[in-house]
Amino acid sequence: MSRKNDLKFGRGKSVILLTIVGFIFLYTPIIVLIIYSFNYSRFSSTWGGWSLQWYYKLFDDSSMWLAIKNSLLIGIVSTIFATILGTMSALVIKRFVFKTKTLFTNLLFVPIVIPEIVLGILLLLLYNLIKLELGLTSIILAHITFSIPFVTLVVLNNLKNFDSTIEEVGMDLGATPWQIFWKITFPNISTGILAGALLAFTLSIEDFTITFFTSGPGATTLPLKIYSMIKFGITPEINAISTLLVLFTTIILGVMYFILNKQEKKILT
Amino acid sequence: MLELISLSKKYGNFKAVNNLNLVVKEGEFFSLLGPSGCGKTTTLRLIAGFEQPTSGKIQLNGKDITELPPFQRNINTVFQHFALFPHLSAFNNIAFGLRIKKKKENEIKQQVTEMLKFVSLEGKSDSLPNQLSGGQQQRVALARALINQPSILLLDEPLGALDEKLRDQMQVELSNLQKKVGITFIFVTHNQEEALTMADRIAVMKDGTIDHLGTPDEIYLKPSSTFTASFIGNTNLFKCVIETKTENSLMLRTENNFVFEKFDASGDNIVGKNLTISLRPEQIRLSRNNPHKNENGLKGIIKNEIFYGDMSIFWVTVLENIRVAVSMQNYVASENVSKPFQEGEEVFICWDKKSGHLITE
Ligand SMILES: Nc1ncnc2c1ncn2[C@@H]1O[C@H](COP(=O)(O)OP(=O)(O)OP(=O)(O)O)[C@@H](O)[C@H]1O
Ligand SMILES: [Mg+2]
Repeated sequence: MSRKNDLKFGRGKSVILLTIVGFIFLYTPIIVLIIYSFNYSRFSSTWGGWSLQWYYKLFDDSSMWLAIKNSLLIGIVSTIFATILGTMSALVIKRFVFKTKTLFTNLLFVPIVIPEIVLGILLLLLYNLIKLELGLTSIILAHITFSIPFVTLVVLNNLKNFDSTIEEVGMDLGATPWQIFWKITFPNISTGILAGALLAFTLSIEDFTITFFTSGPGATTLPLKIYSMIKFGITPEINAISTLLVLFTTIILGVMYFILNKQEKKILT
Repeated sequence: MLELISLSKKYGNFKAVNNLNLVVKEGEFFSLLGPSGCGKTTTLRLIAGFEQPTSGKIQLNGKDITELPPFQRNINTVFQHFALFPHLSAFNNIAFGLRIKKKKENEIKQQVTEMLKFVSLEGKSDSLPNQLSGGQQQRVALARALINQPSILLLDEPLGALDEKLRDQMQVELSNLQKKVGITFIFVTHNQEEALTMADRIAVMKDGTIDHLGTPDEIYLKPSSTFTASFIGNTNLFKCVIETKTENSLMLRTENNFVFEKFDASGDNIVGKNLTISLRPEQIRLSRNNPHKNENGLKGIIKNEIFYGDMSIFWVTVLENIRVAVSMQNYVASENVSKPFQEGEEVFICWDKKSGHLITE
């Protein structure tokens, strides 16, 4: 909720210029990437006219399909579990009072701020210790682990607007705790849960570092596949698949924005 | 019949409800009245079952319900800020209790429609709570509780969130509705006017216990403590001691050595006893002339007049620095309020020797 004010900061020409430079810096690589995915020429140094051939080639590649399938499977399964566990912990944290609440909310940030590579190594060590074979299962477990705090934070934020006296009303009207959750709590925080789930899903689909550490033979995900392709030189195929990834995440972010925005409007009216 | 027996609720070492005893009769409009923080909401939450008492018992129609969870008590609550389900329409809000009881859908439809009519919200059945006005939300909250036909309806300051006009209107509607349905209402408020106008009986609470329990008349005219006397309406309190006594009259001496007569036939007042007399502003009149024979009088100076439109309160200083409030109805001929007394004027304050209520503490 930004608000216009009369302060001078942010109005000077140099500030505007810097902002524009910043945006160019941010978006040039993405735009170049997208344009070159349509390049007919095999080499990114020359422009050979528009073409969709790299996309066709992509869809003919069976190992690419396998990677996409793995990514989607991991994404869906880990999202389901992370959403359930993350939502549950948000509901529990909400019930805590003062100090415990602050403690647990801060604890949530730890996995978010420690470097991914460290988390990846830690998980690898853990899986070795418990003799878990590396593969789809280990990746899914790892993705659940790093997604939970994100889901929890999104749901917690949503719960701030939730007046828990309506749960008491439910109890007053004869509902059991189970009925209260499904008929009262859930419908009122479902947008938060959905936003959390979408976030978890995008994080899972895009993750490289942690997946790299916890994957095993036959469990190649899309980012891992792209990385292995790069080893043999940057081909327009990589541009094509990256463009699709960008498109995919943009859509998800757009949906998330739409949901949260709609909900905010509902609260304000 | 609801009985609270030696009920206490502690938060840490703080006694929010302190050894409270209370009997609420069936079909009664009962009000819990008291200042903020005296334990009204806590008492209500104990009755509803949202809180467990630290000690004591709650009985409903002779059955001990202290241990029962809220959803097994035949008691419903209307919350202070209505707490409607924001995701459900007015219809579905009201239907909630019936759905939980797994009533048949056509039965629900019929009962809810009747209920909507009862609270005059026929056209609003599909509206979401945020599309309803405060008064309409209030009525949905009422209907949602009433449709379960509880033996007792608890209302926690249900009019607190409404503006004054609407509140006056809802006060009337609420007491009419209570008479119509005949359900016991326990109504919490810190607004004494609300309690006086609506309740059959009032319990004035202070520090987690009941200070005075009685009908509105009793509580207003014969408060048992100075706390109740000053909490209900305005009053002037004077500490005095009984100087002499005849068969039906006392001579009282105030702390400032002002001696006056008070007719009193009760036998328990003996010479030397300390008392407080409560004189309501409407029991005192202003006069430029000496008091009548059956009146006590004191000379004073009008410090200020507070104009309320229909009436005014005059603050008069007597005996050097004692402030006394005197109320007077304003007589309005044409557009001008005639002002019989001016600020700064010297007057007598007069009260009948029968007037005033004696409080022993
Ligand atoms: N959960 C709690 N923990 C600790 N103290 C509490 C709790 N609930 C209430 N209290 C304390 O108990 C006292 C009584 O509270 P209660 O809510 O019953 O007051 P009330 O009479 O309803 O006041 P109001 O008119 O302001 O609503 C207050 O001093 C309050 O601070
Ligand atoms: Mg209260």
